[in-house]
Amino acid sequence: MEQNTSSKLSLDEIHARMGMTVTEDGKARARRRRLASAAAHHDPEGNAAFLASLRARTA
Amino acid sequence: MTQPRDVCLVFDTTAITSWVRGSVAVGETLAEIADDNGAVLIPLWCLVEAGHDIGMIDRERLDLLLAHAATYLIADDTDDWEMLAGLRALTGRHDCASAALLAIEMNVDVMTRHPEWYKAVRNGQLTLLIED
Repeated sequence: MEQNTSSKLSLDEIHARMGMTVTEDGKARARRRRLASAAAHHDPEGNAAFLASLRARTA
Repeated sequence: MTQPRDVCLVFDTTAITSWVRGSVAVGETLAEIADDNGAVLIPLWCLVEAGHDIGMIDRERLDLLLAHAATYLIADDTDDWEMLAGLRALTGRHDCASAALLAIEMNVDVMTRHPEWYKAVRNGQLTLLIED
């Protein structure tokens, strides 16, 4: 995936314009939650089988 | 030269509306993914529904989300219409169908305030609840 940076803003600028305070602790907490959820749900083979079943169901 | 980004998460309509309303949980998640050089996918139909839900009053905040370094707006592939129809039947919403399909294809979670919308898809094992 290529990123088009031409229309992207810095995170600091976005947070300032949103009036949002994002801390290092908050980011670390969010990262732990996201990675734990991703690890619990990680099942590429199951996902592939689900998509295959969906295709068969609608074929 | 730009570096490729790994897809980390999909935002559904509720994640987008939460961002618009200033959700710190969504902001922190976006920021940490950006720090990791990751990407968050925004299905076009979720953006459309979010725009409808907020009445386009906070249009600037939607623009800021799209201008975020980690976000990518993704339109459905027309070849996927049958799978989308199947997921529409399971979720009851066309925006959720788009979010679920992207998440399953990319093997990532959907960030949402309503995990119950996805309970019939992969036994609901594809959501990250927004906790403010």
